[in-house]
Amino acid sequence: MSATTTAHHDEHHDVPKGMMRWFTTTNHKDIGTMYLTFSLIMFLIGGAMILLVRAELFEPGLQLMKPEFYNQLIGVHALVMIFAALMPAATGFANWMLPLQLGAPDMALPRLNNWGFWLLPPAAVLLTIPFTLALFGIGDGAIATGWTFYAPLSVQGGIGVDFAIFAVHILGISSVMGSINVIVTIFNMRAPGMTLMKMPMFAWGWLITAFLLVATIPVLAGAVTMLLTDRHFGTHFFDAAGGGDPILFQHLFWFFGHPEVYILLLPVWGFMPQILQTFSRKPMYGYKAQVYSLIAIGALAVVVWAHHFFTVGMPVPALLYFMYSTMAISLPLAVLFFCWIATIWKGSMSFETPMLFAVGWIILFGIGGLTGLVLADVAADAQYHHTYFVVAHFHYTLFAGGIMGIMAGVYYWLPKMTGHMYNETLGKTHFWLTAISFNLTFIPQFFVGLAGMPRRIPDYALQFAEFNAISTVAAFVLGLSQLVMVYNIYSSVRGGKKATNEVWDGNNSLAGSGGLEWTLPSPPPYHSFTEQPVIK
Amino acid sequence: MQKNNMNEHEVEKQRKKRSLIIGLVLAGLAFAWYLATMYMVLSK
Repeated sequence: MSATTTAHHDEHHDVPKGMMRWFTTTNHKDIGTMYLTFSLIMFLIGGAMILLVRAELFEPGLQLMKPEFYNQLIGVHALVMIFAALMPAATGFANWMLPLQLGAPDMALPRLNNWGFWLLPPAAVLLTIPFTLALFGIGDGAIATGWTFYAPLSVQGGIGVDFAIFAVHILGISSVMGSINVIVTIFNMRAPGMTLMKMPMFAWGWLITAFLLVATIPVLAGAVTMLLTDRHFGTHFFDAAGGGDPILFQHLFWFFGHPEVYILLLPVWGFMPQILQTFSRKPMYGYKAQVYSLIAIGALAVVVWAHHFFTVGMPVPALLYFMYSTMAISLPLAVLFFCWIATIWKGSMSFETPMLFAVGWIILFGIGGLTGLVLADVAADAQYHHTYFVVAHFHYTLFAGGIMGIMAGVYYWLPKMTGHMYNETLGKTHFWLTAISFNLTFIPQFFVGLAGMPRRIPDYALQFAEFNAISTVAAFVLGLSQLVMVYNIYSSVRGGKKATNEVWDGNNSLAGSGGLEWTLPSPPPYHSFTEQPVIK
Repeated sequence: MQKNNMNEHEVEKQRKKRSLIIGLVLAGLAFAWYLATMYMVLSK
């Protein structure tokens, strides 16, 4: 694919200055920057919460907090990390990069875009403010049900549940608005000549993500609306005491919850092949195979949800169906893995920070995928359900597969966004500290989980003490090492070596195949394409 | 993709109209699906 772009000129003398610029902006790059900044702040807040949890788990017994507060911390940690850190990070990249990659002047619905972002901060406040209110004697703290809102605990819980229900409604509206914008942009704003099968893979990843969000967020919203009426308006949808069905809530929640895993991962699966091809200096392997695999995973994602609660007592045919359909996801996922490996195979590789994160991501996310296969087995799941094995598994998928993937994207696109190269030594230091401390945090959790240590309990048997101590120390190293990345991003925004248009050496020989962003200056002008590029 | 005899302004107008229609259809589907979820549980 080759592209011709016309000269751009940076006419943004009419841009509002100061805070008003950020409140009123409809520019996709401004909104992308706000999403990414918000995501980083919430990532640090969510991380601080879980460090308190790990401090409590440093040794057996109760040292620092009451069990109720412990439960609140783990629930809000998950909600913050999923809804306020990972999803906004992916949306930030979508805002920044989709118009640039597709040759569009902006997102299709810019005002909706602004609104979608500004719903997020109030939702984040709603999620976390019950902690503060409790300090003043109002309510009993934040939601303590875990992120899953399981009934009947959530029907009986304190005001934290109400705050979380409202927050989820607002976050859901924001996500659906963002998804509609992505779908419309991809269908309606592509440069002439850019057919769907010529789109950058990131656009494909996001297109399927957006459809999954539109298909599943309304179900979650319906479930939590019914939860609200159960709590305050005398209904009994999920309250067994009144003839309701708590298991039904689990079905509704996980109809959203399982696709949510792919919603978090698909954008990363989109841009990762672009990183791999850049630093291998050869075109990505199996473009069509990857696109069809992404579509297959998106389709399977909505029909496998009940593997999250095999142990509630389902009929055997249901168990078998959900087991085999879950395992079927490993087929298209294996195609993706082979394509990623084939992309770097015999490539002229160099290991700048984005590539380090990308290769580390393949290995660590692979571990997450393989341990997921173990949990998909009905017989094995009966042993591992609700243990730390599950916690370790989903951190390999969501931290290594999600957040470390996002970090690869940050280092890959940061010079394009800021116009300055980041500090490579600090970037590599950040990678190695993160990769080593992440493994030291979660490998011990596999072992204590296999030995039967339950999750969501603030105390544990003496036999698990050593592994938990290692896990806690490593978690603090993992948390603190993220400050290296924060400093590196800050330095890159402030200044540094100027970045070229292609930024990375590998993009010279692959002009256009990663997307049209590399045809623009670094940083791109405020108004990206004053004339539409044409794809030949 | 676009009609050659249209000027740039008309093309842009058409594009905006199409964006709005696709957006409204998707938003309508999402809201209908939200209501349908609750209706299905209610009629269970």
